[in-house]
Amino acid sequence: MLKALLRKQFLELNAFYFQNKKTGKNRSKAGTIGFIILYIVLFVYLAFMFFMLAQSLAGALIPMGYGWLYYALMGLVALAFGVFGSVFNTYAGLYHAKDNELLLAMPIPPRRILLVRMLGVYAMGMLYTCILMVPTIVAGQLNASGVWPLISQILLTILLGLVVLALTCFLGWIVALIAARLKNKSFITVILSLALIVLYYVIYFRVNTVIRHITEHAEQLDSGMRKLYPIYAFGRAAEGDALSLLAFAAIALVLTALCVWIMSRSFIRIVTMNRGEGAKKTDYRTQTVQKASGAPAALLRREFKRFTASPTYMLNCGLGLVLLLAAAVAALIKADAVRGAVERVAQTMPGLIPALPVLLCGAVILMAALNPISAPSISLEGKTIWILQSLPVNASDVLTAKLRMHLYLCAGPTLLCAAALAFVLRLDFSVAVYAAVLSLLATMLFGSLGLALNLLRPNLSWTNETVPIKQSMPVVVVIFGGWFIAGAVVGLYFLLRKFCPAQYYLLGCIVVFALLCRLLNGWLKRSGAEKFASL
Amino acid sequence: MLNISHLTKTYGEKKAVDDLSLHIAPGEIYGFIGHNGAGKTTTLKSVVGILQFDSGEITIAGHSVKTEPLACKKLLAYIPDNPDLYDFMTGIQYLNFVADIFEVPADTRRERINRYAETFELSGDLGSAVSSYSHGMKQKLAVISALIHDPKLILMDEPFVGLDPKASHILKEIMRDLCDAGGAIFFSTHVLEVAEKLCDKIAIIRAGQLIRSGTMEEVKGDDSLEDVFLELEE
Repeated sequence: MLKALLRKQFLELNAFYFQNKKTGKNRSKAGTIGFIILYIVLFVYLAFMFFMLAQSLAGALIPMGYGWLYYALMGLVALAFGVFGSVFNTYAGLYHAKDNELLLAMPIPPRRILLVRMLGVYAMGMLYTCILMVPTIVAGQLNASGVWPLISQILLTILLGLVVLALTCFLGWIVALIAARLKNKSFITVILSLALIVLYYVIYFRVNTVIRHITEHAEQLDSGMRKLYPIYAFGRAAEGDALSLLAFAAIALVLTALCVWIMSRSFIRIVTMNRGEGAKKTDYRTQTVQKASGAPAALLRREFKRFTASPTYMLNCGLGLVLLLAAAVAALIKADAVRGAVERVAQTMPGLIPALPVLLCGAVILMAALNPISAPSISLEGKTIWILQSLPVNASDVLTAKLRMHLYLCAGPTLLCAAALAFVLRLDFSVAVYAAVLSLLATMLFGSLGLALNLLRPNLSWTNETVPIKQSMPVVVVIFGGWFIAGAVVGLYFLLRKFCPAQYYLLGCIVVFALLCRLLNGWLKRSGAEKFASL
Repeated sequence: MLNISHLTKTYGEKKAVDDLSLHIAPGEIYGFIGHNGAGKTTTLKSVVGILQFDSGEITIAGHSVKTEPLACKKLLAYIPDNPDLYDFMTGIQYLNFVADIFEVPADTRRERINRYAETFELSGDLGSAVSSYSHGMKQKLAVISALIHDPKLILMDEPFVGLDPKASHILKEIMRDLCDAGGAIFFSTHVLEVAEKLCDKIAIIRAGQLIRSGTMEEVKGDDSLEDVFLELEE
């Protein structure tokens, strides 16, 4: 029985590599190999990034005799990475697995189901932990090699995976509880995800300062962290201390046993608990949606509801909105610093000042391209497309609603960013207006382009909405195509600048962009609408 | 009310519907039966305007589905076999969306939503997200959304699947009332007992071709509908 359950669990894990999520069919041999290679490359890339961090820390701490501190610090980072990397998978895989009820209906002891599920979580946690621990061990061995410490470090990695498992199960339980009670889940998920992204970049940009701080205060850190015995034991064990290894192993095993014991007592209750809004009755009369409005307003409202209901949609297709707003605010706050930097660069590059309006446009277009909001909007209709097709609405009205949502969301931040940058860079009013108009036209172009591409390459048979949002050609083309357009706008100016001043160049670009928008919108109204009706 | 004339629809090489003609008059409940893959859903979807057909003509109250699709859609309502609705909306938001599209005045929609929600015992759930609904609840919501604009013609694909016995009974009563008021219903079903009791007329389709149609008496005579159906299928 356990063997069959294990086989099922690993088939589930392997399906990620061997099956195409879009079609549900098995990948070809070449496709599978390519997919695995892609993941190995990603693993190696991430591991290399962490190796640079580990190497600088090991190079500073190990020669000073603080080897344990190096391993302890990297172990803590690995723990955090493993926990945050797999906590959402834990929530989905452990508490929200689609086959929980199916398995519970079979003559299988719940504890076995739980153990098999936890094994999957452990494997996932180990993957994340290894991304950090492998470079940590390599950097550590490069600075102080030894066979016994190496064996000890490998054992510690396996044990750390158990600690990750215990913590993710606990955090997954908290996520499950929050998910069951939160009202505005989507927005809170987006805000939390954005906070994590900001945290990541803050750490990334301040890593050198942090390392310098650690090495300068290694002595204080050493005495402080010795008091936290599990961390100290981990560090000492990594240096080859057998007693510390045993102590850490005991801690990890006790934690895991405790976790299994608690979970097995409440597994059935947790997996069959209130799944959120479903169990809570809400009187519909209290909702203020009784006002009548026309079809265009209803279609637009529907688009906004879809966007705001999906954290995946908001995060993946609306990240540029946050960047545009952040860039505007940062530019205004750091106006003097920006002007100073521009003046310094202008001293060595005299051509920079006249190019500023074009560079501004390039920067804004680059960020605007990160908002492919309309690009997955047709595919997202999925199996519900029959609703729009059976209702008395023109297909062109549906497409217009999708485009309007794109523009309403993107126009404000784009305009604000262009205006803020123009103000900070002290551009002439007319040139600033050109830059703003060009940026807005680029936004409109990306919206129309995304919609047109999605009409040509729709995917209505998805089972997971991340497929049309994250893995679709229209989204990728809008983002990378947008970056290419941003580069082309700037690059072409530098080629033509001797013959064409920036304001005339921008005017020319405005004409070209407006023409492209008109062409695309014309196509959408006629052929696009026909295409939508025939989907 | 509904006139289907020489309808043909092919998928690649396969003829899903082959030269099918039917006429449904106001006041009629018309049942549509046939084995899986016979062409029932394709016919219904062609009438609704979801599928574009190859040849033939479909008119609803004199309006052509091909040339006046919006005029036709304003008169009809469609309930698919699998009610995939907007998971990102609550039940009431979905009903309001449909009512907005059909431009149902606020007072009228409020009265109809209250009435049908009470009838189908869905009042307590309309404020909840559609994603939390069971199959039966989704089916009830699809039925209410189909009734919200008082359609003249309702097309239903297996409407009783997933409904509890009480809801099925209520739906049958609503169907009868709608037809008594001059409307028409065209629905597919595999439950021959329901078809026999409920329908004024019946059409049997096999491999895309209409093999028999007419009043219940004309189609089945003294036999049961099940016997006739099985005999025709052989």
